[in-house]
Amino acid sequence: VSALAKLARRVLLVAAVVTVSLSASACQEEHATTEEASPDARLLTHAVMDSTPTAEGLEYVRSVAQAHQRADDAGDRSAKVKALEDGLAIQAPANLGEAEILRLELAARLGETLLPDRAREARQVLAPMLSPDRSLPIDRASAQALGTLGDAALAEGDDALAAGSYARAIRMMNMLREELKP
Amino acid sequence: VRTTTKLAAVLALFATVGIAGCAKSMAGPAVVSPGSEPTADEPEGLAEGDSAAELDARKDKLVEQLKDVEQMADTDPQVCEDLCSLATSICGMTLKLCSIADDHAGNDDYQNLCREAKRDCREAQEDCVACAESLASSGASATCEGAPAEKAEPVSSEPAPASEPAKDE
Repeated sequence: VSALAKLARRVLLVAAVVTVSLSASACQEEHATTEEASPDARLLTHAVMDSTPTAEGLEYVRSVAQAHQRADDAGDRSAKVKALEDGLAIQAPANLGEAEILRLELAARLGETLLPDRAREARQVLAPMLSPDRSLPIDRASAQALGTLGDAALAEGDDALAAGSYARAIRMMNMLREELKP
Repeated sequence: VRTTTKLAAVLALFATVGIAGCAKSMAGPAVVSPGSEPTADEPEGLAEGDSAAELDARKDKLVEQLKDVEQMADTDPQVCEDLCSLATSICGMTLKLCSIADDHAGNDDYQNLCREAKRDCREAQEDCVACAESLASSGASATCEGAPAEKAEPVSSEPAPASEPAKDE
């Protein structure tokens, strides 16, 4: 009987130790998942050089201008969104550095049109184009697109992305400001 | 824009000097004799000469002229408008960024970004004001005088931010 009681006590002790260990582990796991993300404000940039004019490049610029014009003329928001999406879908010719800026302008305007109620779509358009791992052209269009991404992220409750995007937009505008300063 | 303007100014000055030198050499040596009255065929003004000291003096004069051209470029109203527009956008985004940072008071990353943005906002507004003052003193039409936020559109899609500069802590 005494041996049985000892065995039972040991089993209970082991069970208690295992329970405490598991609880601690679960608690640590929960703590890790609730740790908040920090903003990523890295900004890689490059200057866009004037490209050699080509018929193909000119045609692209005209097509983008027409997309903006259709968006201006659109009667409702869905038509405006469609016009801007069509503009973004136009294949940019190779070796046209300015195309990058034109695409950012289109994306920023599309994002602004989608906000505030379609923030997720705006983010889906802008986030891949503005990833911190990607180099952005030093231009007002980059700053505008980053600001719009910040607005979209804020509307979705992603504070880290919003703060990071705003900070990157400010850094981009500082670079533009330095270029202008006497 | 400014770099291009300066480059254009330098090129213009060199071109002017080059053309003048060319015209001078094509016309043959022109010497102004001291004390003599210039005739219709003779150049007016002071002889500049080609000695090292005279060339130095001519270079200094050109440098002064270049400074004047630079000053004109610096007080271009469009430059001021762009500076003030950027200041407005920077300060607008600073407000949004610091509003988010307020919700993450314990996170240094947010706080540092907010602090940095406030400093950038202040500097951008100072540049805007300095540019407008420079415009006003040069007599050009100051198109960007006054509060930056009243003149420029914010970059973001949200309503224009308040014109008050973000206060540094």
